[in-house]
Amino acid sequence: MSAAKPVLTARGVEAGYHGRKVLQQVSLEVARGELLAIVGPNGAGKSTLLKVLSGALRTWAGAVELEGRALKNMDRRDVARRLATLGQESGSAFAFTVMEMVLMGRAPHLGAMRLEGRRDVDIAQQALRSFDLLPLAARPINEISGGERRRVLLARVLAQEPQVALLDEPTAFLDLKHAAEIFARLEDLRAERGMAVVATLHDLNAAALYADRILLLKDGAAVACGRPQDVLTRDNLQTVYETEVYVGRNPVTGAVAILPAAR
Amino acid sequence: MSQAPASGSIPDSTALETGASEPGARRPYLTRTRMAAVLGALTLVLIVVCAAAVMFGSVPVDFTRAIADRTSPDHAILFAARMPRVLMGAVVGAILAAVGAALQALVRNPLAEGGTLGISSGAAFGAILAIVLTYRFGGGSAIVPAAGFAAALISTLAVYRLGQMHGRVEPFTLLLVGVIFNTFWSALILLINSLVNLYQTRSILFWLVGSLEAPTYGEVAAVSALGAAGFVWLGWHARDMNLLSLGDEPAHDLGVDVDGARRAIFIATSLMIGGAVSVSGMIGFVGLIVPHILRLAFGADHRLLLPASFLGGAAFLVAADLAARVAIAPAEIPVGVITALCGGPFFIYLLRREGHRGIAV
Amino acid sequence: MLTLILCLGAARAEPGSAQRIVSLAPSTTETLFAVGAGPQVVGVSQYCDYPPQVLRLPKVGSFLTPNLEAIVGLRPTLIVGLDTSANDREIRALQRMGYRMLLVNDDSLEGIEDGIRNIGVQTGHGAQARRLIESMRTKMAAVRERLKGAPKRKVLMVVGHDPLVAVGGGYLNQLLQMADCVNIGAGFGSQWPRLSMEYIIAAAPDVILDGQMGTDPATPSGFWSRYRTIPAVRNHRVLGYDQNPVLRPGPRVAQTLRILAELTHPALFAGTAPRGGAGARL
Repeated sequence: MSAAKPVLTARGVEAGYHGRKVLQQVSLEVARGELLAIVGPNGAGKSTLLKVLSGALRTWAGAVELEGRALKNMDRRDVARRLATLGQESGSAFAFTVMEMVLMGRAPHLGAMRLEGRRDVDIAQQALRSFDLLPLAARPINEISGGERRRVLLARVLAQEPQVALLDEPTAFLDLKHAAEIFARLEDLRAERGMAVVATLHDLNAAALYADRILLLKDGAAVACGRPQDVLTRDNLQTVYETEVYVGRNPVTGAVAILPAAR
Repeated sequence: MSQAPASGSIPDSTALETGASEPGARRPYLTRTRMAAVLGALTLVLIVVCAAAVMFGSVPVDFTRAIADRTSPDHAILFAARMPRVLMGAVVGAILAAVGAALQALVRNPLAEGGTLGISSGAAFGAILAIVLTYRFGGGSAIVPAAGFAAALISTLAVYRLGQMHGRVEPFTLLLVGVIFNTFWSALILLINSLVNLYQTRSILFWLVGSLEAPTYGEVAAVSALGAAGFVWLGWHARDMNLLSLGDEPAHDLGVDVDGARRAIFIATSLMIGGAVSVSGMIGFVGLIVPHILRLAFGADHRLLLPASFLGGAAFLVAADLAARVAIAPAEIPVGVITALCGGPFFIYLLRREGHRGIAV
Repeated sequence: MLTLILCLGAARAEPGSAQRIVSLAPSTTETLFAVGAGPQVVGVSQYCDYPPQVLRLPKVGSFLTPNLEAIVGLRPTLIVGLDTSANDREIRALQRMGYRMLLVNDDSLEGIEDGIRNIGVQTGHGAQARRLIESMRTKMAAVRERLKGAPKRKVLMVVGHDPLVAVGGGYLNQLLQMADCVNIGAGFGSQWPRLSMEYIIAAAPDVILDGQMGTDPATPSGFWSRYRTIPAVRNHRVLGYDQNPVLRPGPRVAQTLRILAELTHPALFAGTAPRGGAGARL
């Protein structure tokens, strides 16, 4: 898959906050339909990298390109039509309904004074359906559970119909079943629409199982990037996480499986 | 307390479970039909309230005589005293409520409005300073609203800056900063007050309560123009307000030019508050009560909430001023007293309610 | 130390009269000077400006917020103020500190006369106070004499139009009645009612006396000219008045009556020199 033309590229990116540099010379590229997982210990710069890719954080050096165009020169709405982000937001100060929340994903596709039309409503309902949220459509967003809200935000990413989805811990707050469903949905979308996904994941086993490629970060720099079995090696993980791990194989899926091994 | 209708249905839970496709059930998003129905109904309410406010007053009016005889006192009461006052009430109420709705989205806090954030008192300070200086040195009448606008803008920017902690707007910090600004501006106003002569002080204290007493058609026209311009500007950013209420980053990710939208809202609201305060003083709580009730009744989408607040705020203030005029006629109560009497308890109720829910963003 | 000074101060005062007087209101200051106690006055409020020599005296704050330290520093043997409640706290503090206080009532002509009489007695100028009251009564009687048979005028008297605060009761209402005026602001149970414009139009006053015309150069004529049906506006009888002395409930009330009478019945006073009534006319 990675042989295809990349939709999103980062080259030699450096960035940070308040004068403190967090990312050092990070490069990556993502192709159509690909799932790239960003893993690494707390504070490695995973979320920062995602913010740089979404354009929310300016780069100090290097460049991000979306479909071959420099991200920083593109119009915001233009970007939002192609690139959607699932961040760590927690909702609104106001009681928007779940449906309204998902319809907000259509905003970049509409003129300033336009209301959502039938097509937008269909898209939003489709997105709700694919995350089992249709029964919640009329509920206020601030009166549903954290896991449900996470799925609503994912549905909004879907409604945005992006070429690239940037997902910051998409399975946070989700139980096993819903987490597995999310990856299944993402799999479908990647196959059907060729949507590329860049996701930060703290769950290494999920990364091993679902990602096409993995970028391993430590202290804001890339340690390794490539296929799961090449990146998630015992040496790499012990260096990066500074703890003993056992690396084996999931007997059912055949994917790399990691267990803590420090006593 | 008479205000915009609170009768709109809050979706009941049985209808919700069945989802959006149920025929007849209210759709859980803003449709053109709902927009037309709500704005139509509110326009009707506004017309009825304005008609009532023109019909009733501190003295009875013979309407046939008022229209037939241009030299009759009835004509003067109706056209020189009552009408401009009703119009001014509508314009100022519309401005205050629409600005309240916009500021609430901007700072992500349903307790925000010109009064609670200290922006109105900033505008009042600017206007009073301009009045005192024009007494002494002379100058055009446009200086007063201009000074109100400038002071409102400074106030808005400062409150917004100081209400942030680590780059995010903290709801309660923001309200505290608003309280402090109110105290600060009031202190400055009282400072001016103690420097001018005894006969100007009455006039200054009058600003602190807010009143729609004796406006001219010229003032009504000027404030209407400001209000309309500001409203169109805000309306252009109505959907941005929906997205901004989610946070700066989500808004950015959904295609909003966050800095640009924020700047536009700052300037438009300051312009509107500066204009309203320079003719009517500080009329509090309209921007709190009206958007809240409308949001409860018709949903949070600012593409409806903003125009609905505009109409509802107009109706609310006209009604409040009618009460102010007739309660102890022929003497009268400043309308700011009426709105504060309604708004104070309402604010406490909101504060406790939001406190339970945790308005942390 | 402080008590010592106070005792010394008190000891030097003549029996029944006060040597060092602080006055907390413009009207009491005027009275003090009018009864001949002027030389005994050592401090006045910041609003006191009549007679002109008071401008040189030390200021002790306004009568709304007297400055206790400034007052104490002047070692007064008598403090004269108004019988209003706004300054209760300071007045009580001064009383606790043992100062001799004289609070006069300025709500009515009777109160004003009593105040003059008391101030005279307490400062050792009782006879002058009696003569002053006599001459005030004579002057007022002269104005009444001239008004004999005059038509009643419907009058609105406001302190200012921004906000519209009218004369409703008190000595000004009494003076308006003495000047053969029907005060449309009277009868609402308030000394300073806020009247609605609608009521003013309906009441159709013949004369409007607007105190703001003296201090607000930009708007007075513009403000009232909107209401053409009011006879006062139509007939150019919207008049300013000088708030000093008109709003001073002191010994110049006779002069105030004369001003009000001239403004409301100009024909009866034609040919006589106006006595300080402001002539700002619409």
